[in-house]
Amino acid sequence: MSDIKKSNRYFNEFSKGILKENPVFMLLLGLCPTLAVTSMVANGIGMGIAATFVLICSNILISLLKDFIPDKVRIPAYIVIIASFVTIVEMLMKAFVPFLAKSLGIFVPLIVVNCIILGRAEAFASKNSLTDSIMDALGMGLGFTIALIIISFVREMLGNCWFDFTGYGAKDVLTLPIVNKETKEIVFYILGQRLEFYSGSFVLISASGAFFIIGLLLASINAIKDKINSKEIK
Amino acid sequence: MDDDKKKSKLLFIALKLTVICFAAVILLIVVNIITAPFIIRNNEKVEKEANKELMPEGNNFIRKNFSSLEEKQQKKYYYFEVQDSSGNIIGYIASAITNGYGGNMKLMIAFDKNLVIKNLKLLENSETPGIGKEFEKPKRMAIFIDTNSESKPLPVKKYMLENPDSVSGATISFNAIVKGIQRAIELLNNQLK
Repeated sequence: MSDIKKSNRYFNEFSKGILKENPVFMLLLGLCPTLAVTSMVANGIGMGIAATFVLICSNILISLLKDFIPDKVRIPAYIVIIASFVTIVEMLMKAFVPFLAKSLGIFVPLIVVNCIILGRAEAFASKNSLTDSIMDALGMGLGFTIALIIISFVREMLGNCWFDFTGYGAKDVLTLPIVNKETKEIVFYILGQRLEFYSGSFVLISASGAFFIIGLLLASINAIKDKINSKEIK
Repeated sequence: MDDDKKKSKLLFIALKLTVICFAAVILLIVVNIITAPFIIRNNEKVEKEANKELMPEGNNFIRKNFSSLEEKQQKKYYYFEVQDSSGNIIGYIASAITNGYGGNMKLMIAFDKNLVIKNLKLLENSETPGIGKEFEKPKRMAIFIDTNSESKPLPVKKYMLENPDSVSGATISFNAIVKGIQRAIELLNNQLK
């Protein structure tokens, strides 16, 4: 019985970060890197994995050291731990996925000040057991990665009409079936007449497009939430 | 007595923080030892590709050090002698590290035999995206191409540009690039005398 309770608790800790307390869509944390790197799905995946790695490692260490770290200097201690793991991620990226290191640029070192990581360290890992902290980090990291992938998917699809994974070793950019592979445009032929339908919109790839897309996604999520809540009240 | 207790408590806290920092340093040293050879190899690959891009007509790029520099400086500034397929020198590509807005910037500058700038490229840098980082684009760097000749001097100040507004907001990055180019020209001039 206690085993079932335990596994339920671990599952709750894990799943809350994905939906109920998604750091981007629900808590609106870590918006700076979210806005900056979501111009490409490849960047979103890279940033998500990097932040999840730092989140898991820092949560593990902070949970293990919670009795060792003096309360008065806990924030500097957390920053040292987080900064060390971020530097490790940066070195690993530069060594093994240099295109991603170049593409993410300054936003990799800025993971140090990502409020999701410091927030989970202060609010969760420093007060909970090791397994709970790992499950929390996994859930939050996965939630952050999923949010980045959703936003970058919409931005890259509408902005470019293609997905660029060439940095990961793909031979060519990936296009949706309705997009012409050569011209990267959505073209229709009506009565033999060529009708160019859509060829991407630069504004969605730019910073202002990120605000626009995130705003629309948040509005949609809130609308769905309201609908569910109103159903529950009825 | 109370003061002593307070002092020893503070000392204990400082000691714990030092232990954490020390452990972090050890961890970083280990990861650095593992990743450094890969990073160096990647950087060399980027440099090779940049050389080919800057002087496509070049067939052989021979790395040389500036003899006037100390060993430590030779890592920051060096140059490539560019030869064509028949072994004739057709130009030089200088590598310079200069200090921009966000820290060090690595520049590769291609010169012809008369040290007129034929092409240049900004490699590793931490400039602000959308502002200083714009110099990574060939269009931005075009303001320096074919300069450093008698008829077209190097634009060392913004007002010397045809359109000074084109570098507005990125003055520190512009000045850093100019400094890097000037240093490369000075060193090449001394070396080739």
